Amino acid sequence: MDIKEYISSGNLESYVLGLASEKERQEIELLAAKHAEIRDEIAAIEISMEQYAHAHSQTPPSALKQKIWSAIESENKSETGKPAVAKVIQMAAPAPQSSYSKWLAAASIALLVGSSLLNLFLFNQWTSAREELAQANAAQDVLAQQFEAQQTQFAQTQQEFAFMTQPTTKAVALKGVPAFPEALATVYWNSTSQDVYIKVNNLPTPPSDKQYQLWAIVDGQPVNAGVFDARDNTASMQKMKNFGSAQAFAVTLEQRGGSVAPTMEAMYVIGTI
Amino acid sequence: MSPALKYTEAELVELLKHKSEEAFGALYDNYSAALFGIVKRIIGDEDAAQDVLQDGFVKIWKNIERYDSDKGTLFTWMLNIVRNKAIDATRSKHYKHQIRLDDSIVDKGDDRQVTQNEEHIGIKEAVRSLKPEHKEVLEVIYFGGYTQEEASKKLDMPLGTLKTRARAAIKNLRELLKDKVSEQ
Repeated sequence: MDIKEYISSGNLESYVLGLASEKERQEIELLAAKHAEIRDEIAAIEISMEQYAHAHSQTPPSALKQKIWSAIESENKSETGKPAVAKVIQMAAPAPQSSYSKWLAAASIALLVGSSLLNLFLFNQWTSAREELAQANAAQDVLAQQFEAQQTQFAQTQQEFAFMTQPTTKAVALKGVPAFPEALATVYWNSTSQDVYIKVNNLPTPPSDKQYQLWAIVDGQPVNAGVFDARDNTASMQKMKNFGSAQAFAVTLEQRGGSVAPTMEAMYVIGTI
Repeated sequence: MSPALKYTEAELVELLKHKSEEAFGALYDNYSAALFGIVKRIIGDEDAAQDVLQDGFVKIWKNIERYDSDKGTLFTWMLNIVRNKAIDATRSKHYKHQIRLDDSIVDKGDDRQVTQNEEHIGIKEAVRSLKPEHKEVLEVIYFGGYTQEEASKKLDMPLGTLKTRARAAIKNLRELLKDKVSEQ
């Protein structure tokens, strides 16, 4: 900023004459703090205006001096002693505004109460919406799990169906022996791939320490074809061990894990190819 | 600056902070006439002007700690307080808010109400020698108690012109005062 130009702008004169706006006043005080030239110029203007004021002076009545001093003294007393009377007057004075203020206060309280009620209402809405969303999410999870299970089962069924419908797959019905006339199972055996599946149609649920064991009768000798749990899923087929050509199949109930040789008394079903 | 001062401004400010009656007396004696001259011109009414001067001095007394000599002279600070009181009074009590040019010593040469201080005579002469347009602008601004906009309306000149005129008036005044001082 060009200081000389600022000095000649007339702003400093306005400032000393009390014409400057609050913004200008602050600006000038900042500039004066920074620049000695501006400070000096302001001082020179102030001194000349003070002299100008003295030239226009009028002596007030001599009694005024004592009157003002008394006013100052009583002001001092009221400040240090009991509460000022003036303060009481000040509180009562703004009567014209009070009705407006009351309305304003009443309106503020009404707004506050209204806003609080609205907040409470919205909070409740939010809480219940949140609960509903959580429930919906849980329900969706259950459905997704069910859907996944259905898909797995469907894929399995498709696989089983494809296997069963191959021309080289044979279905062998294993019927109940006289001791268990209701028992029934089916063995699917593919002569090309040698894959063997068993489908439990009706077998009693075994005790937990026992498992059913499938035997292939090859050249008159029983060959272990694996164990299975009838309790698992009676709708689905279970893949068993592969073996060469067989003449018959039988299922016995054995110790969990299977046996080396079949327990003939515990034979449930048998079927020949 | 003024030979009538018993104290320098700095001494006076220091004294005022002790809040003695002597300090008040010194302050009053030095500045009451200059301040009253301005208040009287803003308000017009003698009794109301005395009330304003009283309120002004009470406020000055209470706020003396706030006076910052870095920001200007004691007189300018006091004048701002008193002038604001006077403006408030004209606005709240519906005094005629107009500058009374007819009261001015400059125009009438009427010294009856004016303090007869020897050291002020030279200054008065200097003020009398001001150009009329400079007198007018200073009277309206200094004794009017207006905002920039009001003063600009009152004198019927744009704000820029008002500022330039005020600057020229004060410059003129400064030169005249300097001449008076060098003459003495």
